[in-house]
Amino acid sequence: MSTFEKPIVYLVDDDQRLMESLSAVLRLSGLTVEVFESAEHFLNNKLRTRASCLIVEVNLPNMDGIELLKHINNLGLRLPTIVLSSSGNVSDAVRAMQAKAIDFIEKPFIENTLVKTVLDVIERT
Amino acid sequence: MNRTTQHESSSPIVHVVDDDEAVLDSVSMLLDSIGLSNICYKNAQVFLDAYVEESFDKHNGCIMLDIRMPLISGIECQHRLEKLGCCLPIIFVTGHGDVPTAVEAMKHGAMEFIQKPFREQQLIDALQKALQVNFKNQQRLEKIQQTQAKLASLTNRETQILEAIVAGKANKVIAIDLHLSQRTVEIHRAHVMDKMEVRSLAELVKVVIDASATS
Repeated sequence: MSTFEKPIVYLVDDDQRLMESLSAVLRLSGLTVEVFESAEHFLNNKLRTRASCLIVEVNLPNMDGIELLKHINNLGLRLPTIVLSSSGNVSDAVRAMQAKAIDFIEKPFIENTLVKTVLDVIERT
Repeated sequence: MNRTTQHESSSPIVHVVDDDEAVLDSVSMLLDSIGLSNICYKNAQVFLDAYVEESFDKHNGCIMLDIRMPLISGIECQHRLEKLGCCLPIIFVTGHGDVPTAVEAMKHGAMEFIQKPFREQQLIDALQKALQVNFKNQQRLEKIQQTQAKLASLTNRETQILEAIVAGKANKVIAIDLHLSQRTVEIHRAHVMDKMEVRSLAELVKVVIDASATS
């Protein structure tokens, strides 16, 4: 099945409009996209399945995006992660990179640039 | 200012690079107060020159770098150090931090990116952690070098047999492969274990893998 072989990208962000347009762009690049509105929602659903890339917003209700990334690291899983930020906070950027994020991107961003980063990540893994 | 604390080779040095003399003075005083040897540099060029001239132990210590400095910025300095193969952990301290600069610095391996104003303890914690990481890296490197020296002390035959052992071959198989008697293989094998200073097969495999993974 072709859908089974498509790389999966997870988006975790409660900004629904952004997620809709971003997932549309990612799908156009041949990726399977699944969207979750919170870290908890993501953890409860998908953690142990195969995945190519995670894109997560820092500022989420309850568990934030960087805590989610640390949690994934602590489980010994290797999930290349790109962190998005709507607040442009330098210490968030540092925390995310210390937690081994691939990149930390401020909103608003150019979608094509993000897609290119995602495709690079998938190619490397 | 620009005090150069006299150092023995054993104690790590914090290299402080900042174009603001007041910062150099206060950081130096802070580090002195907790007994951390430090050297101050008033710009990146002075530090890079000192690094290239090996005026200090290049492996033992850490670097505190300001971002915004005339001529050579902290980020540029980091890139040059990277090209020089510098293994000292870097902590950035800046009054003008922005997200892209922080991300860039971290992608290139900076350990910390601290914004001014900061609490003294925050800086001390970051520097202590950097020194710890540096110490552990050094220990690992030394161990690898020791293993490599031991590997170099093996005869060709012993190296052959070591490779076969690590590949998981039994003595009997090694004997047939190398046209030796099993007894001879056993003797060589004992020599290999002696020279590598290990007591078990598991230990032997581990030191060999550790040394080859990072070399």
